[in-house]
Amino acid sequence: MSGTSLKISLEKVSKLFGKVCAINTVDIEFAPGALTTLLGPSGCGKTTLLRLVSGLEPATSGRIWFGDEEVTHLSATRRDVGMVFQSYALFPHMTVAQNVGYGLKILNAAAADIAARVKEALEMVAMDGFQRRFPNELSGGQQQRVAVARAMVLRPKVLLFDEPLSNIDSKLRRSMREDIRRLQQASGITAIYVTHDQAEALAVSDEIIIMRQGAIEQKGPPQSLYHRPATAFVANFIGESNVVAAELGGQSGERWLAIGETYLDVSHRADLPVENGPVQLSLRPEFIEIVSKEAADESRRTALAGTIVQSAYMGAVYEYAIQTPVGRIFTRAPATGTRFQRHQPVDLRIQPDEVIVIPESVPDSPAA
Amino acid sequence: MMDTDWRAPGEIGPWVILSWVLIALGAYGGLPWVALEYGLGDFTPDEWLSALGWHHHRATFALPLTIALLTPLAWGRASGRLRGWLLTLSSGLILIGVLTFFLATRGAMGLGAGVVVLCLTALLAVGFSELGFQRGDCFIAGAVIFVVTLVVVFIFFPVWQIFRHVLMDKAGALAPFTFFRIITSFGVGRVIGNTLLLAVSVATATTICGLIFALYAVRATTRLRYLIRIFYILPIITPPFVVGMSLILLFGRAGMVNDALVFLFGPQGLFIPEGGAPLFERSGYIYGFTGIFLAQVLSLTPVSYMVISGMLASVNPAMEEASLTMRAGRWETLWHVTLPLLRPGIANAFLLNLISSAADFGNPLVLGGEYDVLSTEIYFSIAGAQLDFAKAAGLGLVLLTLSLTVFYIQKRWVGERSYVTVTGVETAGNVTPLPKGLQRSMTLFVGVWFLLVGVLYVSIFLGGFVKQWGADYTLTLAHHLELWSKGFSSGAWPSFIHSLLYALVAAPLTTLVGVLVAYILTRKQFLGRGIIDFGTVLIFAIPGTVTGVAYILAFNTPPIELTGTAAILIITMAIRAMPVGIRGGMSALSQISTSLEEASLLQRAGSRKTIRFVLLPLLKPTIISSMAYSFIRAMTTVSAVIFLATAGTDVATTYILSRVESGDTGVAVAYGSVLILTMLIFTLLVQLVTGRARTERQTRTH
Amino acid sequence: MKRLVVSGLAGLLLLSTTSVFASGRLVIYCSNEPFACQAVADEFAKKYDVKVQMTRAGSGSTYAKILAEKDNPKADVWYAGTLDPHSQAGVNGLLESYTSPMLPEIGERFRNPATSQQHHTAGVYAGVLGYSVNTEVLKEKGLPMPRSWADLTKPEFKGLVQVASPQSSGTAYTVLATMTQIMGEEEAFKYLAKLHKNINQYTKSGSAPGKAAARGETMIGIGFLHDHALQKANGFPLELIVPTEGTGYEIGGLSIIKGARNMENAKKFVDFMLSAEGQEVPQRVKMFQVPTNMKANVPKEAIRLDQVNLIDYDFVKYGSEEMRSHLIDRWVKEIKSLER
Repeated sequence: MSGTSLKISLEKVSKLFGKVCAINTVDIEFAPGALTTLLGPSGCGKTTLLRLVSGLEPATSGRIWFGDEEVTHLSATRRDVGMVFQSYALFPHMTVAQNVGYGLKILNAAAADIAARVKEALEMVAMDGFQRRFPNELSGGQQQRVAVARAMVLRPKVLLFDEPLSNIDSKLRRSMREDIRRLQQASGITAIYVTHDQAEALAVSDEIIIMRQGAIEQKGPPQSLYHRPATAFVANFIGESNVVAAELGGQSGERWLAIGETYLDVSHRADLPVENGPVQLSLRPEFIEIVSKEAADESRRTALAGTIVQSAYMGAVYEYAIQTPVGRIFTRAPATGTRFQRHQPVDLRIQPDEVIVIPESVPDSPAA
Repeated sequence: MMDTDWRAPGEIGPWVILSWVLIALGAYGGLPWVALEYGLGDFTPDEWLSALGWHHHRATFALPLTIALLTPLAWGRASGRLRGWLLTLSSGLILIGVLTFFLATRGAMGLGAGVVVLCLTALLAVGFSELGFQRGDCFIAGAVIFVVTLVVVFIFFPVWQIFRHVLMDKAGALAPFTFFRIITSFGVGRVIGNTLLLAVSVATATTICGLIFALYAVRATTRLRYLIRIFYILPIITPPFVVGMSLILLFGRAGMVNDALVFLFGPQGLFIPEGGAPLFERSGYIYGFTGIFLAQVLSLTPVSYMVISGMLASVNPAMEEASLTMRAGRWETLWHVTLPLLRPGIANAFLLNLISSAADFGNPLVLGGEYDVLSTEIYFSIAGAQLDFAKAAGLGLVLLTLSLTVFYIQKRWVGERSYVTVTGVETAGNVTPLPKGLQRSMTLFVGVWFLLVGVLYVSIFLGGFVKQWGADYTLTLAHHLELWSKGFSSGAWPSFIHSLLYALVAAPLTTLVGVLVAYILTRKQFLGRGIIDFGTVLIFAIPGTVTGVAYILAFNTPPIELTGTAAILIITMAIRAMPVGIRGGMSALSQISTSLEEASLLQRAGSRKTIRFVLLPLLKPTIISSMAYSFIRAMTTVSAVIFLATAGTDVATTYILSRVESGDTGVAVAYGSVLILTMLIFTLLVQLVTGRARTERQTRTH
Repeated sequence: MKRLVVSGLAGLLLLSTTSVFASGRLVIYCSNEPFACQAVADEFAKKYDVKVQMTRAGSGSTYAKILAEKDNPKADVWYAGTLDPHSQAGVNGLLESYTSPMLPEIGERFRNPATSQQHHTAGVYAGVLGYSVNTEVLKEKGLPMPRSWADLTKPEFKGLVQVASPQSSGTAYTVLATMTQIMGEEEAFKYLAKLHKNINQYTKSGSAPGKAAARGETMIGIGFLHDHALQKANGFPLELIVPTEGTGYEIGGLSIIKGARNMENAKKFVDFMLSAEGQEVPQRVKMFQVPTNMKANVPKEAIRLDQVNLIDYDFVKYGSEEMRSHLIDRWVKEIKSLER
């Protein structure tokens, strides 16, 4: 499919509900042709932001651009966007074909035209042949496929997904999100995708925007967000993370991070803040290794001592919570290895290269 | 395919403005500008001609000229909001001009002027939407302005007229003591007291009876409970005062019960020894409190039954089962678990019937005797020998205040969840049965009730076929012949046809407006929503007699002179039945996810098309059932129309009531029974049709 | 539904166009019994080929209507109903003065009876006040036949007498005014207080007591005897009593409304209704009021004015608004609230 991809930009957009500020002076650009995810806990304003872009909610202030066209005052009907809803929002009184062809009919397209375009759209989502079914005769996944077909059939300038997979069971979700990704890439339509599921976000996105309390916390490609979270909030939200307090010290050429009594040698890392002082660390579970106390003797200074307080068998892995002097740390170990028991003292080996140092203050414009 | 020329949707094309302008010009040119002297139903070509605007008054030439000036705006692509301002200001000014014309010439608006006003309102809406009102959605802007106009003209203006008559004297000066004088005048205190006493007693009794019926219908194990399901239809299809009439047939001085008692215990009674003192004398005990109370309890209990049983059906059986597992008996469970859970339903039933009893007009009129209540007192202030509009308005204000207060308490206290659907209640299985002793006594109670209701309805049907109930029980067709065999222009036919015709026009009208109001209230936020909100409260709470008085006061004189026309009756019926549409619409809309509408909006369908293609089909069952119910309400309403019906526009209920008033009970019950039968057949037909629709849907699903 | 509405409207339109072309119109406000109104309207329409619109309502509400329409009268003539509201309308300048050529045929006291004395209203019929007794109930109770107003206050008639309430009924006001004229106001109220003990119900409508008496709902019903005569003619066991003390009577008014749009036809209607021919129309539908045209046939069921003791009813004094509200207020305060 062809189609010129548009850049979507928001300029100092705010949204107030009564006196409650849902979106607070947001400036963003959504890259043309990319799928950008809005990620955040519930109530962070991500759905509101999506609805501002769709035109279903008017912005209280600020301007919205689709490419070079300002759409701030255009109603949803005139903005030329396609949207997939969390609840599918298929019209229960129409067949699949009528649902998908609805917009075409509204635009007075010829009947043959409609049928062809509907067939094409349904083929895209592997739902061809279901034309005469009613929505309540389809499974949740099938309904959402139809909804995707309906959103795309008019070839809108923007595709919006509002938590499209949250009503679908977890197995299906995986294949659905891949389908969505594939379709979006094929169409080249700029897409905005709202979810609260970080795994989904990491899987589908070109870029992720983390939102918190109506503002943008950080924006970037998935890998950069995962490996270089700008704030503790982002670190916590993307993937799993143990955030602990530490101190950065030493001179250039020989620098260390002190986590309680434990010293990590970070001399060869170039991405650290120049100034010494207290910092926050994000420790990903996959970079923490548990070893038994006896064996840990020689690495005393580089390992963090602690006691197992919880242990759970998860099939492929064991999950542990370890009480340490700097707080409770969560990590995993392969189920093939030793199982540590509760109250057992252990050492935690942390890979210095993978320690994420979170700056105390968030930079104004995170690297794109 | 991509290059197909699709018109930009949602844009206000030139045709929108153009068509309204053309309609307005057409209406000015061809429809009567001032009201036809003898009504729209009856005119000569000459009268029509002389009522046309350009024939009537030179000043009206200004209208087509100024309206024509609006036409260029149709194509004008003026920058920014200029077009919006131009349109809003000019159509607003013309509108004011038209109204001023009628106020100045003291003329009555004709159909043409009405259409012109409508067109101007539409143009105003277009202008407003261009200015960004309702986010530029011209259809919604129009709907909102239309509804606001309706509410202002047909609710606020008449109610204001009541206030005006109470607050001002005839010259228009402020007379703040009029109201004080009225309510402190001799006898009014007693009337208010009577009304309150009656309303509280009836509300209490109906709530208790309704609770019994609800428990019985949902929980009893006998067959009798199935009868209850059809039991709630009866009062809906029965004109309010017919129950009262049948009580007279049974318990009146010459009623069957009195006859029997006199036969047994009267002066020469069977059980009285020769020359002994009679134990029983004929008396009019049914007239007064007893009669009204009985009639209202009979006709209002189904309401509380529906409210409470709806609540009961939604009680989670698990709670009762929990109580049973904790060793509580069925009695304890009923008393400590079930009844407290029903409390909101009980409160709601009580308050609803409190209003209904105070607002009831038919029964007090027929059975009141000397027991005056507000509604009858209002009526006789105008229709009797007193002709005291100020008094009627004052009493109306009292009744309105009473009703609004109760309604407010109900809304605050019981809340929104008490909207009851009229489609009946499904009884859930797997519920705690009633204690044995209770069930037995309830069976007795319900049995006696049904017997009484049965006898009442039989007496209505028989009453139309006997010569003179109470004196001469010879079977005769005379009453029915008098009603139905005197041609279509006399007897009962004119009123019957009027009723049918008006109700047929009013029902779809009220349903559509009701659903529109419900849509605006559930879906739209905007400045001035409060007006519609409060208007709805008034529509819900205003008693029929108050509507009647208010309409007489408001629409008896220019500029909107409607008394004596069919239009006023249709409007009254529509307003009286409007709560049905609003309630139905609200409950149906609350079950339709807004994302459906949003999905449609994003598919380029503007709100008009969204409503047409998405909402209306989904609301269809609601619309059909509330149309049917509105039709029935319009056919059976009496309290408001009795003020407004005239010989040329009398309807079934007012005709029957006039025959009751002049003592022709036989004719009245004959007509009443035909009316009930008509309604019954109609209800069954509707149920058949909607039932079929439902099964169709179900088969389609599987 | 839509189709139904459309066809219904079409029907309406058809109905309305069928009878458009008659020579002229007349709008009658009628305060007589419905069937009498209909008969009169039909007869006039037929005889003069006039398109007649008739609106029936009690005299009270009709007066209110005319008052409300003062600036823009809708009706042309007002036929029947007690004289007082007609009188009031005349005093308030709502009526057209008209001296009908038929007046010489009308009984002296009916020619110009209204308060205004300006030929605003002519008497079109007379009705005698009295009461009727259900003879079967009388027999059942074994009571003597009452003959006078005074008889009605006897204790043995307790709960057996019915009369309308003057608050809502012009008939009942005539009772009030009649008693006042026979006995003087103070005595009259003493009498009414005594009578009150025997009343079983004050009805809203003036004609209800007669109908109730016919059906045995009450033994005695007070009202205009022509209403009762109709019941008797229908076969009910009633005896009509004109009380021995003398009694009042009503005059049915006939007025032209000021500013009537069809003045010529209105005058024609008045002439017609004052003629013997017009006055005999109601008899055909069993309205047994006494005609005021001396040449008209008096139905045998009607009370003949020359055979009863009529008081010299002062329509001017007792038709005035002040007297009216004075008497009614006093009745409400002193009589209605009494215990029985």
